[in-house]
Amino acid sequence: MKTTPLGFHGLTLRARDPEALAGTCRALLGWEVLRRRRGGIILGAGPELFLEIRRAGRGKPAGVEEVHLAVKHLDESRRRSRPDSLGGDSWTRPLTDVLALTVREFRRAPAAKWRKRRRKV
Amino acid sequence: MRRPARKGYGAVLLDLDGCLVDSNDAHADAWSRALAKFGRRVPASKLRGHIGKGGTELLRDFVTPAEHSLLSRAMGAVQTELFLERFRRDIRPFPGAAAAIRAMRKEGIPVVLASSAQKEVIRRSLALLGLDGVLTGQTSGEDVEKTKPFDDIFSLAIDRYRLRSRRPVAIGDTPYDIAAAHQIGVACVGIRSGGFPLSTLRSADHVFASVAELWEKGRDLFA
Repeated sequence: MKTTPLGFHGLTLRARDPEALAGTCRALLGWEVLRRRRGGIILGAGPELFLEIRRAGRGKPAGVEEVHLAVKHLDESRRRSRPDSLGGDSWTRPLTDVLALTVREFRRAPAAKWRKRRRKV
Repeated sequence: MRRPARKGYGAVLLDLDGCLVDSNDAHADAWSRALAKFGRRVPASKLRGHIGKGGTELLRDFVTPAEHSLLSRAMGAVQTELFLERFRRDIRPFPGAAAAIRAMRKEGIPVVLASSAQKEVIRRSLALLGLDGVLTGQTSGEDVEKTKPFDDIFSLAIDRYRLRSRRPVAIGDTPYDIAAAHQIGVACVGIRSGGFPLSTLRSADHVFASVAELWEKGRDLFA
């Protein structure tokens, strides 16, 4: 089956001060903190829409580090994919020295760390 | 001049869940557990009235547009997995339903299963009912872009098995079956065994308590 792009659903940024950038993004977008991890913060609703902000280390410039594209019918004949914690099968490929592309098909439930606790419907 | 008697229904578009097998509660429960795995807490009781829609349509009322666009297929896959895990424990055939379908086939009436369910769910259900090889054919939610309450499944069944000239009738237990059938001018028999209130089946052309009762008391509806 033909791979169909569904949309960009995630962005990983590198920043000198992740907390400050996360604060700005929260103010601009109204997004909540999905989780924190060493050297980074993830904002958003869940695996379907998120913004990850990582600390820019030595020798790594601030800016966009990775874009995440969701697709329907991931073509696995061209590139080997593997299961990820977001609930997808995905592959990642560098586009430039500093920017990578991750292509993902969501196929299963995400790991608990990616589940946002929501109010009962 | 006397009007000629109207010819009876000559083919059947048959729903599965709630008509042949008692599975609607189990589907609602599996949806509730599947959504929980994606961080959504929706009680099965809230989902119950939406059973009968295809998964993609059902989810529209419970998830955000972004989740729907990107995660609905994964959510559906998880729901099917959870439903099948408890299939043997939870799913029972309705008494007399399979016998009624066999009798229809014996009378030469084509019966096509036109369900929004996934193929594996259909396969397991037909095996449980002992209807393997009895039906004229089947369509599933995987064969169409839009599931019930859209007409796609019924339209595909009519086209694939060339039923148009036979005056087909749909048999279903939900208002979504009725809506799908009526969109393409096909009559629908509402079946109450699926647990939907009679008030939601009022627009059906006929209503019976079960598929067994339909064949027992409504035999003359068929050609």
